[in-house]
Amino acid sequence: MSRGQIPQTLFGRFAALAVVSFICLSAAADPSDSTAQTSSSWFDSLKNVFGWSFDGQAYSYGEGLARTPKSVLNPGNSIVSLPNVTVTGELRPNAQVTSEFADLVLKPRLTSVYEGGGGLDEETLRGYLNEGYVRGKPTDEISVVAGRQLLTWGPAFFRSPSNPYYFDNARLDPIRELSGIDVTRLVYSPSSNWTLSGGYVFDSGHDLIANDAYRQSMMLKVDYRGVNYLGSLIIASLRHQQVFIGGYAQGTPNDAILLYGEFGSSSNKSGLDISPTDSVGDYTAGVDTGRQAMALLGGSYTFENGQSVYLEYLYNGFGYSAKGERKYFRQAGVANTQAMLGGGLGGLGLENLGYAATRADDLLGRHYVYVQFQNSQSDGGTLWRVMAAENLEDLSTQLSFYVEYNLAPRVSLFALGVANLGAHGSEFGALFRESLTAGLKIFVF
Amino acid sequence: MKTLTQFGRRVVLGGLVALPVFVTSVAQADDAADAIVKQADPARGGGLAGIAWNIRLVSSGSDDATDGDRDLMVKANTTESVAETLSPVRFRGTKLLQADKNMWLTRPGLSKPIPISPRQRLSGLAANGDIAATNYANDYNATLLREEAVGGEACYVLDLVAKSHSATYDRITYWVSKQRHVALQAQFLAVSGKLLKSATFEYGNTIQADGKAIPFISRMTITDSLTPARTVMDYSNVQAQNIPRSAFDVGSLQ
Repeated sequence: MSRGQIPQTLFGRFAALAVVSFICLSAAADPSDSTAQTSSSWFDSLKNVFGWSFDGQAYSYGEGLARTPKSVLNPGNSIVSLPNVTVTGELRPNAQVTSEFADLVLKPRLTSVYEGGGGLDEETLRGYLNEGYVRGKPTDEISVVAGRQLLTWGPAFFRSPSNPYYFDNARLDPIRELSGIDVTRLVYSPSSNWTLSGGYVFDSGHDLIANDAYRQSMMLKVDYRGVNYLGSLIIASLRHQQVFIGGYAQGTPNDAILLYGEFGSSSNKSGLDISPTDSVGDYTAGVDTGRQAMALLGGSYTFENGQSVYLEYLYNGFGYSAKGERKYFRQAGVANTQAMLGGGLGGLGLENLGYAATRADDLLGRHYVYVQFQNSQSDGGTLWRVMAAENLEDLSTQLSFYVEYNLAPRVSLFALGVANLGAHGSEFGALFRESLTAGLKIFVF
Repeated sequence: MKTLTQFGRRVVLGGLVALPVFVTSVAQADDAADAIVKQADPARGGGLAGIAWNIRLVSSGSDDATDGDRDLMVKANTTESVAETLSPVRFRGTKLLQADKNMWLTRPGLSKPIPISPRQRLSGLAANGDIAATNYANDYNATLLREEAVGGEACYVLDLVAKSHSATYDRITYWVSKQRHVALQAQFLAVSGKLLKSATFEYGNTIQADGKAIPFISRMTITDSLTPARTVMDYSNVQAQNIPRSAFDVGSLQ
């Protein structure tokens, strides 16, 4: 078993300084504390200055996964290393302390993960700060937020083209939690209609990634909100990439319909190029894709009983056309054969499969449709959601469902099932056929 | 072509004189009705620069599994509100942000706030617009129907028609006390006139606004028109206070 290290980085020192600053700032915000009524206790005085809220959940769940037999991209599970079984225990406490001039938010996490099967037998224990930041409120219109936080925005479910930091917004997996990034930003809201925010991203948070494009980047966001519509424009400078330009808009024409769209434009210097000629050759990694665009259009309808249906279409400029996808998998097939031969050719084959696998976390195609049907997420009973995503280039489909059932006031049973339909040489059919995750969510406090 | 007789000319002349008087009086009556509604809004949080309160919400009488208590902390201004669920523990940290007619829901574990339509219910019979500050003067056109007593208290009875499709209710029949200038009773109607649900209001709280003490709502009881379902909202810890803009920023909601 390997133990995760709790990082003692510059950020950790900054966080400690932020906490001390917060306490000092809040204490200074109410000098009348020093002249509080003699009959008030210290704790009563504290309650007059601070508000606080705590909540925390504990998760315990297991996942079983059935890999695609004779996978072209992942022969013998040697490239992507998908476990047959994963068992996870998580503690997710959240704390918030508020005052007139500053707020403090802390979301530490403790995670224990066992992965087995498929050549894996590994247990990992990690403690980390998923989010932790201070929000200073020097005036009613201005706030300064510093620390590790989620920079998520936009109305879309399937993906977020308007967000350079969180294109995959994890909405399709209700169990998964996004990681915060280290950023300082200034938010200025001169009125209820306008909000202007600018920020400097220091790092990508606890999930540090080598050659991270987010590191040392700047972002600017302008929001305008009307009575039943809003729009936003985002500009971000990312390292070694062209400037990101994006935006989103949504409108509520009546109490049942929601319409929305997102777009984003940037480049990717880590693109994967398939052989430029018609013959099958090698992949070329680290290719500059040039500026490409992504766009999403979507809408939802809410029925009288609170159930909602969502429909989204995504255009992914970084993806392959149908012809490009066929060639991608044809090249992977050749690499697969080479890998099985062993020797020098086998090494080349494994190298090419490794390159192909770098696309495993990205969307492969150019056109997608996404549908979601769910009940009211604010109701007190069983929560459920069914989802379907289809790659319109290769016609592969991913079906999934999520259900959360109340066993007791503090205990829920949940399940997430995923089924991939498609040929071996298709995006959703390439790596695994189905998976089932089930477990308990305990509302600790 | 026949010419008008002298009598006919008098009728036409009288009509031309009476028409603007009639239109003016109708307009004045509508203005008076709007003023009555505007006067009643602050007692339910409307028209105040900033206000915060706690709500205990109890639903009963339906087969829906949503029956049960829910405690909320609400902050609101004239056009925005944010309601955070304090209990039960499974919903603690859930927040509902309403900014004009734009709404978002978030709770612990969600990657980002979900935009929702106004049709999403909060709990029981309470619509999202019921827990927030009431700005009927902004959202509805009012017409005075009649006067009648509610619980022995003389009231104006008003017909409120939504100015846009994005209002919480299409139509409301509203009873406002003539003496206390607060709403005592309401019937919420569909655009067809079909009764959806009814509500009564009590005003046991007092807040300071514009240098004077005004009564503030302490209880709203909502009953369904077709079933025995009932939702009671008790308001407590009401404070008129300055609320920073960051409280209503969807980027700061989580």
